[in-house]
Amino acid sequence: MNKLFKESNPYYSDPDVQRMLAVQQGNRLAFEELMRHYYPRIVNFIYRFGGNQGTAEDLTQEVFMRVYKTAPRYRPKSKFQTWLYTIAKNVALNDLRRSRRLADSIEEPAEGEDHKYHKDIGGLKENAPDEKIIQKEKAARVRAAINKLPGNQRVAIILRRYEEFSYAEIAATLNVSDKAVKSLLNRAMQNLKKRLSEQVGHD
Amino acid sequence: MQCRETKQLLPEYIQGELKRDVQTRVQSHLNACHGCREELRLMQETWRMLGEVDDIEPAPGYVSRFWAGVESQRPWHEQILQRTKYIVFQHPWVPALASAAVILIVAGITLLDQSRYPESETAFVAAFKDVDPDMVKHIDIIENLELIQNIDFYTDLEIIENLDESEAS
Repeated sequence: MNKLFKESNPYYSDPDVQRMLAVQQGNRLAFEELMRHYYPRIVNFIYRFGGNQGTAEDLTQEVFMRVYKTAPRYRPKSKFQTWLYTIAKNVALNDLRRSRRLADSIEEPAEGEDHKYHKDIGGLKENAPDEKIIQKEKAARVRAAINKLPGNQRVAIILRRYEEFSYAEIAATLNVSDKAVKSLLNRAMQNLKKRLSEQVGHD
Repeated sequence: MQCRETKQLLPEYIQGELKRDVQTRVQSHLNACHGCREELRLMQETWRMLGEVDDIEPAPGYVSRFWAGVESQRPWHEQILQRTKYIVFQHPWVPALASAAVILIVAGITLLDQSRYPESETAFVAAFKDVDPDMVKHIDIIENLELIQNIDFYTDLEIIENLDESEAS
């Protein structure tokens, strides 16, 4: 029965699924391989979601702890990457809800986050070259604009722009249709364009 | 194609995700509509600006930090067992040292145990230093060791041998 299951499961050809199955057999080195490959990407995904690097690192550790603890009952139902980012998305969204940076309705954006990102560049102004300061200011404004997006729009735009996920992969991660992903990306871009329109006109 | 539909398709357009026929229709509308061309420029600039958020480098040691976290969540008795295994793996001489320590402890206890009966044993040996070796053969003498130690054997022997006769008389 197991052999039939393996032959018919299309995800068994995914090398990372194979590594996860090795982890299930107690192979810690396979887990470290997965961690070294995906940790930098997950920490950046969560960092772009909002918050500082310390928080992003803590949450990324939590993501991999969930993966590790799930190993005994792991059954590949998707590409490993899709499953991993689904966990990361849930961890990031839960953290936002806990810290109340997301409004009561999941579809309403959080407000008043701009000041937080400008703290990052305050220390640079005295000694750094102007170009570096300008670059940091731009990045801070973009992060603030992303942080104003509702949860699912935020996930969609980060996965598309920074992780280069296909529409199908984003759809699988969010458990929505491809059409819904296109709609989310469209709305996210419209929102970002509005918030960044001051900067957009100058370059 | 109308402006509203064109603007909705612009995010896909700038990523090259539209089907060829739809892309052609969007392009045709853009050629004829200044407003939508401006909207396209703003959308392209927004997409470009998103790329100005650089990657961060994860703090070093994240793998060892992870395993430390796993270890800290184990039950306490499993933690002790794991640490014991780790110590033995790092220092293979530990089991030999532990065995030697056990042997020494057992030997020490055994010697201490034997030293609990010093008086009778040393007295037993000492008693036969002064006694004629032939006397050792007599079981009565051995059983009455204390008597033998306390009397002048040669002087009182005659009295002892004749004790029954003197009592009888």
